[in-house]
Amino acid sequence: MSSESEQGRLFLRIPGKPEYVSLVRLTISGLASRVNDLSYEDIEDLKLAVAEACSRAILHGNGEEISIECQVSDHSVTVSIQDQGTGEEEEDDMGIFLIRSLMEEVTIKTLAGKGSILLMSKKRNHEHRNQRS
Amino acid sequence: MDAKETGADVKVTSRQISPNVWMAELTGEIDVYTSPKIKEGITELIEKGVYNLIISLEGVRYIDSTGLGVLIGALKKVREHNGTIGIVCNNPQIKKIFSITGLVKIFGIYKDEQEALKSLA
Repeated sequence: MSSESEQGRLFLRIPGKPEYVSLVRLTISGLASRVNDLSYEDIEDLKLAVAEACSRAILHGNGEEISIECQVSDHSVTVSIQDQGTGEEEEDDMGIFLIRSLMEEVTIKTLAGKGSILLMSKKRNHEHRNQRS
Repeated sequence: MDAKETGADVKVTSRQISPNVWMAELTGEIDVYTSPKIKEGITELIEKGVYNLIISLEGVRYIDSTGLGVLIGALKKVREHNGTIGIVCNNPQIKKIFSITGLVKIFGIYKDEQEALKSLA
């Protein structure tokens, strides 16, 4: 990722095991901290939402590998989390509820028999620029 | 005082603070990996007959929905014995999660042990 343009992509692949979620949190938090236009609260929201999505992927994913892709663009930070689980969607899940509350755009695509992709994004607010310096 | 190492970097430390109220201090990051250990620590207390409990999240840096699930489960159990759980928490991010999920209406959230104890006594 280029810190100069503050744009870029990050790919992570983790084993579908609970002990790896803290590693994802740390990575997302580190990446988000480099994006000037995110407030502390935005970073915490992003960290929790991505971790919730990973937890969901682990619980549904039969231990299969999970792919996480994080894209920083001019206007937003977008993260997708793909599992290879049963693809069952549970809308009443507290984790999904939290993700929908903390992030601006959330979509879940079910891939018949091949798991699901959860896509979420957080807008970059240019008013936050330099607030953390 | 009973400090129980519960795996990863989470810990449940409990002590009796009044004739019928116990305090459980949780520390660390509570997530899908560590919450079963927190659940074990709290369940052990309830099984000992502790039904009025103050749970302090002051040492908790992070909690997710699985951690909240543990707290909800514990509240259900103590309510079966006419007990209750008060939460001590001042971390704005954690308080925000309690607020978003509506758990502020189910748990009493207090700024310190004294305030929680006054409410539970």
